[in-house]
Amino acid sequence: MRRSELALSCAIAWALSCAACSAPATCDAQPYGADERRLVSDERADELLLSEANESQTLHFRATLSGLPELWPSEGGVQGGALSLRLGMSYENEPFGGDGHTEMPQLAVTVSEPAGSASSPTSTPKYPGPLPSSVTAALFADCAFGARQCETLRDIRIRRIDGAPFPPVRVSWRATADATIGVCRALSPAPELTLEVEAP
Amino acid sequence: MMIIASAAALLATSDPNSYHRYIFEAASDGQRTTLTQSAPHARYLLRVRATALGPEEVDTTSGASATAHGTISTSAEGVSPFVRVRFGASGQASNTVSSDAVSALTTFQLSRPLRFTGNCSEPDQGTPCQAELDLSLELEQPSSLPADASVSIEWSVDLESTVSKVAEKDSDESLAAPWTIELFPLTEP
Repeated sequence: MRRSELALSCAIAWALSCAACSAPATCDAQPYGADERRLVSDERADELLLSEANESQTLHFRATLSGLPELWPSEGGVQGGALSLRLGMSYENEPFGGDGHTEMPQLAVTVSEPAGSASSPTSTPKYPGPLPSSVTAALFADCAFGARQCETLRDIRIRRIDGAPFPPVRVSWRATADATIGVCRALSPAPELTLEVEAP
Repeated sequence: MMIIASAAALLATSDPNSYHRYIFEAASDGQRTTLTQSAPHARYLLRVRATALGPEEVDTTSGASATAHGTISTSAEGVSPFVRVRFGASGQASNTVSSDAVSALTTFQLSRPLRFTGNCSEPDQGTPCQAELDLSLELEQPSSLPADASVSIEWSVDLESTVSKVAEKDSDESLAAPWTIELFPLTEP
């Protein structure tokens, strides 16, 4: 094989291999470009009763982004997501508390990390309220470029730290998930964000 | 020439926004109050009197505050006797607008401004320079406490004021406040 034929063969082989491993197509070159869209899930809410020191319950959350478009902007489709959990506390009798002026048992709230580890616990204040205590956890950080659906599982453990003389305390929680995604304007996609919870 | 150079160097190193902060501190003696079903309420008058000016003739009473803190324990098992703690301007501790109040079971900490009146620029002359606050301790539900049980409250009050003077560089200096502190039990009308 002559030197010029060899060079041509190499060039074709490189071009073929490059085409096979290239990044997914993006909509950056389209006339309408890309836009951002913020999605918020429906709120989930419930309550639980913690009566003694070290009593705990774990809430299992599943956040799902579905209906993601086939074509993504080059900066990435999912640009951020978070699970927000807001906790309110009350006693079953007077003083009911949760008003910022009544001493209550502290709670430790721990969020599981994707690698199986857990975050440092967040403690509620000794005089909680009237605004709820809140905890957030990142979502969809590992959503692959070009995926049509992404899912994140998060476990949140709520543990009562203090026991007697504090009475049993009712913990009400409200949770929502939100995500910001980049979308190609020309495609008019309709992605959805859902939040499911499984409580024991 | 050297004097000009020194002055220029001093000007170059001085920060016009630098202050020396005098932090004046004082504390009451620790107190113990016992509440029972038959005596569920106790009130105290805290009177603080400035007796002298501070270093550089500064008025030690501006920007002063008082913090009441305490711990609560009960002689009875299985009951949760909440104690309503109010800390506020003299004669107004029962007024929720001018006092801070909490329902405490084990510990509490309440802070209020300490407003001095009188001749505070010359504390050793004329009308005394003094401030007063009320502390009120009351069982929320006396009937929930057994007749032979009691609630014990160990408490004290910390006082502090900070006075800033323009200086060449930022610095803090903690000093004992030149104040006298008096506590008077008050009887209910």
